[in-house]
Amino acid sequence: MINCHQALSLLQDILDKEASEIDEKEVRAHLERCSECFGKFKLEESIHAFLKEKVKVVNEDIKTSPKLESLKSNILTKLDDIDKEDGSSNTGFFKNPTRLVISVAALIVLIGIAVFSAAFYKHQEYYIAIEKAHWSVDSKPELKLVSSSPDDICSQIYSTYNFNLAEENSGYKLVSTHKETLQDVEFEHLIYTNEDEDYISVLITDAGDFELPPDIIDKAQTINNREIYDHNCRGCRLIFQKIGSLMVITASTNSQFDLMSFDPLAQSI
Amino acid sequence: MTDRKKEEIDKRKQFEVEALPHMDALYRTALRMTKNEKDAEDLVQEAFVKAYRFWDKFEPGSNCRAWLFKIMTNIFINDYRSKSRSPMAVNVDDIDDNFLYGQLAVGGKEENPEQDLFNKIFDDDVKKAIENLPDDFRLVVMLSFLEGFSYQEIAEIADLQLGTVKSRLHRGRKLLQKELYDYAIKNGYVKDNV
Repeated sequence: MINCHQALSLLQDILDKEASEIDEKEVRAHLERCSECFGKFKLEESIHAFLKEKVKVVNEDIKTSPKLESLKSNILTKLDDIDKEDGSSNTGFFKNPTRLVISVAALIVLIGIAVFSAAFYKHQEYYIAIEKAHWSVDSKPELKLVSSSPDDICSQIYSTYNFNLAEENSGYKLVSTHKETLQDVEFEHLIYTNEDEDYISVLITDAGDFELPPDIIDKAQTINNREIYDHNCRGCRLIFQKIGSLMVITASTNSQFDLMSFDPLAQSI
Repeated sequence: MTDRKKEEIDKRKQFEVEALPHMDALYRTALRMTKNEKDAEDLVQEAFVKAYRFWDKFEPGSNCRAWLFKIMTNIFINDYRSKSRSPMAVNVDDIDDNFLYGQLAVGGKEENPEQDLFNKIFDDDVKKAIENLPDDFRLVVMLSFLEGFSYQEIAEIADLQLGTVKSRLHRGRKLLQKELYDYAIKNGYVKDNV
C-alpha cells in the first residue's frame, strides 16, 4: 500500500496518462481511503482537464488562419528551389565562394589532373561535421561524423545543438561510443554531453596512418610529446592530436571548452 | 527520364504526403513559441527546408511528426529563443505544489469550487498565461498539452533527460495555475484568501 506522499508523487504521471497500470491502481486504491488526497487529485484532474481543453481552444483559430495557405505555398516554392539546386549545377551554386572553389577543383578532377584530384578528395575527407544521422522515436539520436565542406562544419555544429557560450565546462559525461571511418581509418567515436546539452566529440584511432593535410592546419605545436594541430573555422575549433601512432580529433559545440586541455591518454574528460 | 530525376520526384512526393500535412501543428506551436506570426512562419519554413534537405535521414515508418518537431525545436532553441535565457529566474519552487488546492479549499463550501473560477477565465487570459511562461517551460507544456507527445517523445524532441521533461512540465503547470489565479484575483473573479 502506498502513502500520501507516494500517491502525490504519481499525480503528474497519472494526469499525463504516463503512469503504469499497477501504479495507477495503487493510487486509486489510496484515494478511496484518503479523503485529503482524493480532494487534491480531484482538483488537479479538473484543472488539468480545463487547461488542456483551453490550450486546445485558444489554438483552434490557427486552423482557419489564411496564413496557412500562403505559408504552404511559400514552403512549396522553397522545395522547388531545392529541387532545382540539386537537379543541376545552376548559376546560384557558384555564388557561394566555397562552392566555386570546390567546383573548380571538381572540374580539374574531371579533366584528369591526378594530383589535384587526389588533393581535392583528401581535402574533403578531413572536413568533419557533426550531425545527427539516424533518428527515430525508439532510440536516442546517434551522432555521426561525416565529410562535408568547411562551412558546414560550423553551421552544423551550431545548428544541431544547443549552444551557449556563457555556460561552464563541467559535468560532461559519456553518452555514446561507436566506430567511425574517416579516410579508410577506423576511429572510435566518443560523444560527451553535459546538462547544458553541449557536446564534445572525440575520435580516437591508433592506426598510425592517418595524416593531416597541411593546408587545413592553422597552428601546430608540440606539448609533452603531443603534436597538436589547430583547425579554426568561423569560431569553431577542431583539434588534432598525434601521440605516436595515436590520432585524436576533438571538437565541441561549446567554444569555451578548452579542447587543448583534453589529454587523450587520461581516462575521462 | 534519368534515374536521378525520378528519385527526386519520388522524394518530393513522399515528403509532400508524409511531412507537409504536419504544417498546421508545427505552425501553432511555432506561434506560441515565437509569440509572433512573422517569426512563426519563418521558423516553420526553415524547419521544412531543413527537413527536406535531410529527408534521406528520416527513417520511413518512424514518427514523422516527432521528427519534424525535433528539427523545428532545434532551430527555435538555437536561433529564436529570447536571448536572455533565464528560466530559473522564475522562482517556481516558491509555489506550493498544492497552491490552488489551498486557495480554493479555503474559499468556499461548494462541491466544485474550481468550476466557479474556470467559468470566469477568458481564453485570452489563458493565451497570455501560456505566453508568459519561460521558453523552456512553454515548450514542454505545448508539446504535451497541445500536441499530445509522450514524455519520451518530448525528451527526444527537445533533447532533454526524461526527468527534466517531467520537472519542466510540473513547473510549467504550476506556473500556469498561479498565473491564471493571479489574473482571477486581479480582475476580481475571486477573492484572495492569503
